[in-house]
Amino acid sequence: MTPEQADRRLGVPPLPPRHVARSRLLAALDGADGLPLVVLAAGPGSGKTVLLADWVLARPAPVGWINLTTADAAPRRFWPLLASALRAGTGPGEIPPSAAATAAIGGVQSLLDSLPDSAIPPVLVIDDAHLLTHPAVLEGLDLIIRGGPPRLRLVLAARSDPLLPLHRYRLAGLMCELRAPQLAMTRGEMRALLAAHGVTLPAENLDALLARTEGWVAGLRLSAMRMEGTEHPARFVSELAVDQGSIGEYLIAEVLDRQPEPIRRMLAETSFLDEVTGPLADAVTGRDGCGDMLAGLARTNSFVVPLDAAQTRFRYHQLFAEILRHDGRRYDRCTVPDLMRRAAAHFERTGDFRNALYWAAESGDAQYAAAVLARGGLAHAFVHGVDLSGLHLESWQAPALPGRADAAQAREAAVVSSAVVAVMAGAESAASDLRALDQTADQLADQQLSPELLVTAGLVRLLLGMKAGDAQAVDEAAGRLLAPSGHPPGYRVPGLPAAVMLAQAATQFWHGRNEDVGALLQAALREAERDGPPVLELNVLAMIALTDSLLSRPHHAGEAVTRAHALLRQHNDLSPPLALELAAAVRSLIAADLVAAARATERALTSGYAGFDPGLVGARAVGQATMLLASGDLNQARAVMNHASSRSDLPLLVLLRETLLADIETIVGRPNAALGLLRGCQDGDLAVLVALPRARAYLALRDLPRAQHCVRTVLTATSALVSRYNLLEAMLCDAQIAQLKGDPGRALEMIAGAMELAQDDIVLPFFATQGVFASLLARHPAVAAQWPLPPEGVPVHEIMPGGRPDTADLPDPLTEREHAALRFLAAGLSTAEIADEMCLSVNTVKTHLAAIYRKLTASRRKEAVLRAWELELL
Amino acid sequence: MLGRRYEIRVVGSIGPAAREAFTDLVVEVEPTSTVLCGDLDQAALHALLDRVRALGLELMDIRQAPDQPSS
Amino acid sequence: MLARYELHIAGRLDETAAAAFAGLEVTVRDSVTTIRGEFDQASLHGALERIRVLGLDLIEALRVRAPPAGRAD
Repeated sequence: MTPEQADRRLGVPPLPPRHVARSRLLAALDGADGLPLVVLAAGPGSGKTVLLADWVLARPAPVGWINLTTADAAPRRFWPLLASALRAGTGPGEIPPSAAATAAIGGVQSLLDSLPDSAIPPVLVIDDAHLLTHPAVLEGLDLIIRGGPPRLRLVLAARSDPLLPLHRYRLAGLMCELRAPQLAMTRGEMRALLAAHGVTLPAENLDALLARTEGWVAGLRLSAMRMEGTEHPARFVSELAVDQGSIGEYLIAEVLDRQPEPIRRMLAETSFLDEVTGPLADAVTGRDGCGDMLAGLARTNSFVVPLDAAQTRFRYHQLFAEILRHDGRRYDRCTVPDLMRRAAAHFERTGDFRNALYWAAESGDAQYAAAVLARGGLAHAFVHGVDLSGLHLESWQAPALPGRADAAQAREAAVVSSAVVAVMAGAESAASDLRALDQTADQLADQQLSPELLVTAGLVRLLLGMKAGDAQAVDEAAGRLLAPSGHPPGYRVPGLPAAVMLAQAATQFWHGRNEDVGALLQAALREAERDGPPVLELNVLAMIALTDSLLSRPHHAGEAVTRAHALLRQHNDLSPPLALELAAAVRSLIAADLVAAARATERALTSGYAGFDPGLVGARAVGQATMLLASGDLNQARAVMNHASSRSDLPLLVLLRETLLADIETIVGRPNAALGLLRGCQDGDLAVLVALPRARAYLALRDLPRAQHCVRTVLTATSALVSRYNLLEAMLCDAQIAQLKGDPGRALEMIAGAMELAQDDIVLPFFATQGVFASLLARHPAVAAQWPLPPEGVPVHEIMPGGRPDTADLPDPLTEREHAALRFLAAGLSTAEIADEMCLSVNTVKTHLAAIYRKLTASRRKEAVLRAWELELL
Repeated sequence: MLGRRYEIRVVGSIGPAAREAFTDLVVEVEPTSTVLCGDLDQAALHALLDRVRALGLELMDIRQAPDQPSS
Repeated sequence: MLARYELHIAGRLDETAAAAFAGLEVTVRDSVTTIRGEFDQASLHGALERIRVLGLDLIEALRVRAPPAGRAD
């Protein structure tokens, strides 16, 4: 079974027992062949799903089916789901595996383009289409419907009109509609249904039944079931005709009345669940055998619906569930919150913390939810990236300990309390929360805590450290969690080490300490591949893609992106994480593909829950502002940065924000204001990143010596913070200075060097300085011809390099000195200048260079730089 | 947004389960219809309409009650 | 099954909102927009859902003409 076929959201629901085909409606559906849209719009119980299931089963491929839920109606989940549904509905190989990934990135147009050309366009059925409310999704569907001869036909079943311009489709003859009057049973269909249940009625009873139910399909099915096997079915009809109330309730109540008490009770007590299994029902009701009861019900009627072929998971038809909830009032032993707690306990026992936390929160019992959190819910959520804001822990209060509580109980309570604090803490309070925790540190370090609580206690410190922007606290907490003593024997949280390493790497990165980030992320990835859930592996890959994109290492980034998309294709329940969308935005920005960058930024802004890393949210704001700046929208860029300033204290992000704002000041003609802004950032480890905006400000002031000094700082820096991108910016700045000094030769030299360094992936700095060099380039057409240009409408995923050779490490790696010399070489310094910078003799430098050429198998400076770029050594 | 007093009318009478679904509303029985009354903001109004749809009740109309005299 | 309805909404409709109700009769008076048309239950709930999604303020929804008695068969 392929992953798509196994996806429960894509399965055609099984037909109910004693189903009678409704040929007139099947013919109507067949008659719509060639139309891009079919809409079935009618209330619950009108037989839409069963009709479509019947129609689909008889129809040759390709047909896809989606059981839509609210969560899947969001654009970032919908398009990949649609692609997966089509793949599941067609034979293998007909729709390329990359369809889901392309759909995730490029939306509906890419999806349509990836469909094979065929005389018979595939059909896609979407059940519960009234849940589609997101404008982006609706626009995409409109595009499919109105885009000329149908390449994909949509069949939408909904309880109310889908929010598409149906009127327009109606006028243009693009749509076939089946509404309540058409879906209602005819006299003939009703007789056939009754006959299938072995029921015959005299004519006047038939008329009465039809009139009373108004042809309502669910009502007639319930009536048929009710009358089956009885001696005088006509009596039922007479009683029904007399009852004045809601017919749905009447009929369902009738059905319930005839259930044996244990079954009736089970139904009532499990009615609050979206999905029921045997073991879950056993836990909630406190009795055995529910699995058999459910399977039996599913076989004999259509309001207990099996969700899988093996008949282990079920749900209740919505109308039925409503009435069951009322029926539950007869049993006042257990309140609904009690039942929800039992469900939570069941899920906790089976290790499903996501559902355990969900039902604990739904039960309204904050104490219980907090306890589940401390017992492993927090660790699970951390590894799986679960959004804990739905727990509603605001109402949590530390319970008073019983008078004779011992030290162990007190410690346990302290851990629970700290878990709540960690989840609820905002950036402002996190630092003080952490300090308060320090004071109780002795208690929490005590080995007498149970393994689960010990891990929770460690995680609490890690999470608070991240929220407070305290890198030291994060490193300490990570160290403890990763140490052998951190995970007690016999208790293991799969994926926790990888998740901790990811958190640590991210924190270091946002603090501008790049040295170990790469290695940490690789270690996290290996650990996640070995032992973690796919979502964790995806998150690690996404962070690798982001950091490598920001550090101008496109090949490594591209590899990570490719692997991430492979994971997304494989697992339908995963959606692209924020870090991945940001990586795409960064790549597009660097390549000056502003259209793709805007799309990627839009996806990043709507990507939902951002995860546990506060740096990503700040990075998103910076990315958005950078894109706006590049597009010339200075006011918006400034607004975004000013809005974000109140939140992030992470050093790298603060610095990027200040440099962006400074550059905006320089651009609008206020370079002194820019310098003023940057004055505060000149000290500290990240100071080198401030040099370029300062250079640009000095340039605007025509203070060439100071500008030159700043540029030099960057060109000669050995810090890992300075990426190839920064070097390139510096070289172009240097060229500008040379031009202003009246030295066009040097300017051209620097430009040529910058173009070499840029290879084919960095365009933005050239894009930004095009005007400055216009006349120089006009006089040197050979150089101008190589000036990097932004792509014309090229989709993002096409410019991610995939599968370039030679990204393996060198067999004979460069020494540190050789590496430093290489950077100066790439920056365009002469041998004498390199000797100056490194405080070495010229001969020593030449020796180093010879070694570099040998190890990189290059014979000239240009080749060496190219090889260094291929291997991403810079 | 402040709530207003809305009256939602559905066809026929409603059974005990539906009645229970609307416990926070006043239910008035009319000869061939039922009225559900309550103070609702737009969100609560739409949630209520959702339940009406889910229960398969036929929606007749939605009105605002005239303002009650203050004394 | 079809009945004629009048939906009264506070304020005027902007371009997006107006486009959503294409095919229906839309009039404005005294800062109340009235949308008139024939609806069955599914399309009525669809229109109400549209109103919700657009963030419009529903004042009233009145049935102007009852559906014909009995069923068309």
